[in-house]
Amino acid sequence: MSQVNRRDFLRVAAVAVGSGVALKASQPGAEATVWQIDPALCVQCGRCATNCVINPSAVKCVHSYPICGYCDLCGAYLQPAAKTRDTGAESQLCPMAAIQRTHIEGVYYQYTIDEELCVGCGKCVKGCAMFGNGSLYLQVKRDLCVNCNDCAIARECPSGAMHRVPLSESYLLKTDPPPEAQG
Amino acid sequence: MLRNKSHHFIKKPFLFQLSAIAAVVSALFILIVSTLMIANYIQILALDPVDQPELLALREEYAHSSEMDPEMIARIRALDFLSRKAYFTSQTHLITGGKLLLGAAIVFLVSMRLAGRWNPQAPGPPQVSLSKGHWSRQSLLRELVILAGLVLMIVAALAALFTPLNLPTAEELAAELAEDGGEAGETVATSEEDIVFPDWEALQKQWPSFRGPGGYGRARTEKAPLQWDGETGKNIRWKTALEAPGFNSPVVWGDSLFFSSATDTERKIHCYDTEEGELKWELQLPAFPGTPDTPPRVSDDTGHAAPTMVVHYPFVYAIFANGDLVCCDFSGEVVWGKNLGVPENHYGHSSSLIAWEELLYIQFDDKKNPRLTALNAQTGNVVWETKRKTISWASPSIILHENRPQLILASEKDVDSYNLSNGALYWSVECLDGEVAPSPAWTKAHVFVGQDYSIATAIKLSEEGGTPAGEAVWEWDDSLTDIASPVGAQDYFIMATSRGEIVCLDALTGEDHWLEDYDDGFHASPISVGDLVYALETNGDMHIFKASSDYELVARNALGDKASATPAFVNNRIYLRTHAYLWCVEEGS
Repeated sequence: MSQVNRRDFLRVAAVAVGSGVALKASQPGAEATVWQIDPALCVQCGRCATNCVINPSAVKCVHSYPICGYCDLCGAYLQPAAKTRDTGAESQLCPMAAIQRTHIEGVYYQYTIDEELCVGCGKCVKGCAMFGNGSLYLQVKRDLCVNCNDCAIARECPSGAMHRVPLSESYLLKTDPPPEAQG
Repeated sequence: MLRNKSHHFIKKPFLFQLSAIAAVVSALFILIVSTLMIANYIQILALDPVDQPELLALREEYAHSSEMDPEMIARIRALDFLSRKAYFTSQTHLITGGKLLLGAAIVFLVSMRLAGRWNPQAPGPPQVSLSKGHWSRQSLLRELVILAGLVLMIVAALAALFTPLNLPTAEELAAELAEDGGEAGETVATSEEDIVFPDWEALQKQWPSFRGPGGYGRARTEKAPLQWDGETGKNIRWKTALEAPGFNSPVVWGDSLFFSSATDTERKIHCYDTEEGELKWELQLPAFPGTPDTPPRVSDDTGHAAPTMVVHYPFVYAIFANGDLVCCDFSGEVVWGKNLGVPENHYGHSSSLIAWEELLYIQFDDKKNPRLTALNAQTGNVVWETKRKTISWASPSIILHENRPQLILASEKDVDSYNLSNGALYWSVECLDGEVAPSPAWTKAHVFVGQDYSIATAIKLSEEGGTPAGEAVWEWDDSLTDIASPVGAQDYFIMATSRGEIVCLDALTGEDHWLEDYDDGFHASPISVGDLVYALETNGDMHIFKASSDYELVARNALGDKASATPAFVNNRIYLRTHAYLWCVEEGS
């Protein structure tokens, strides 16, 4: 029996692994799951910003425009004790100045999240939930998350809001106003 | 490619040395970058941008204070900026360091591989026998490598601990702000002395701003010349030829007269001696960070230097259509300057500057972001800023009603009154329409505004619960002004229109007492001096009439040159800027 050299062994091994992967991909199986935050359970504890293995966190604030009231006095944008409704740091709630405020007309303003700046602390989400329609909420960004087996945020999440969802439904989006707002 | 396919074991010493050097250099680079990255990572871990304790404490203090302390606001803003800057800078360093580390590691591995290829060792037993203790030395070396790694980690940690990203404390920040302010790259005040800016008493003795002290067209000089003639030189103290494009009006402080000029390419401040009319100095503005290369489009009637300067001794301030704002001293040295952004304003920025105590006020009417900004007059730092609903081409006025100063601004819709200290809105009356250029007038506790094709409105001032309030009490909609600002003179509001009409209305009732037609029209705003009103027509004729219920012309004096700027009345003299000349009129000259 001839001795197999290293190069031939590697070639055979590569073919075997490649065939296995192709076979696996062609067969139906359980869909991969990813971590996501359920907005209905999230209590905006702030741990998403500090516990994620990615720094800054893979959790970002997202905005549902159909739900937003475009308020001038925005609980997500302004400090609770803000003396003026302007863009000064003394008035803004977001510690990273990640919310852009744009005047639309009259007393209506549009709020846009700058994801590059957002660290997922959830302060704005809490403010919006307390004084507004709850149009801001936290979501794990798929392009940032490394999908750890044991998610460091899920481990510490006090409300169990972080859980696995099918990859095809990886975002739990709020798209419609709550029933009371539609009223 | 990197595999050694040669079986001849040919050595290439030069290439070997080259790759060996590259490997050593990249290894050292990896060590240095690793150390810095470890230090940086430890610093990031220690930095909490979300709940920065100093900032939280300052915000808490601010929230519980009853007033909007400008100094505290500035400290919060500066600390907030520094906190975020430190965090994101560290993040950038970490990402950049990672990329550098990856690149250096690739270079190191490739160099090592190449070094092995170009210095091949023939297989077989060593040609010389291993010396005694060879293996123990190898073991020791391995331990030394591990030890060196540990030392490196400790050094990095110590470096991080002893060079923390400590943000300044509130006290340090206050001291820093006091030392020098301004945004990076701007020309900022280099030192802060204990400058005492003039109070209202001092302002009234000068002509510091557009339409005089307070900016509402009332002169405090005891008397003003009644007769002069530009052609014969009668009562003309001096006359100086000008080549300075710009429609802004002269301002005077002591023996210095200032105005600005601008073209597409340059912006200047001019200072003249009030005694002889000689040029003291000219300052050509440098380009500030943000100064656009291409000037904004402005109408010919507005130009690039429409806003009148303000003197707030010991400084003078000027603003131009491209958003350049400069502060210079009485010798023409720039104290600070900045570009506020090019205002989107289809005729060109026209609102003049005004100052009160330690603050300089800018009605910055940019269509995208119309705002009223108060700057520290000494440093140029923003003290407060408040948004305006719409723009205008009028200028701010400061009035004292029941000993409380109010900053009055007209916009395309409203007349607004602001608190000078913090920008809080006292009252707002919606009474205007169209493109508003005339500035407010003021007399007998009534503020008066008017705009052609709209209406004129008198707003009665009062106090409601200790806060100033304003209420529209009468309107008038006949001949209205479109460029020149009205003036409150005695018991009357007087308007001069660009069609050549002068209208006199009763300040309390709005009754129209008289209307006179003149030849050419008025762009310069009429000025009240005692019981007289001086109205400068565009042909250079000054009409002097009594502020009374019956029209009574006192004098009409010609200069013989076209005039658009509002004259300055101070120390019994009149200073006029016509299109080609600067004039000083004084009785007995």
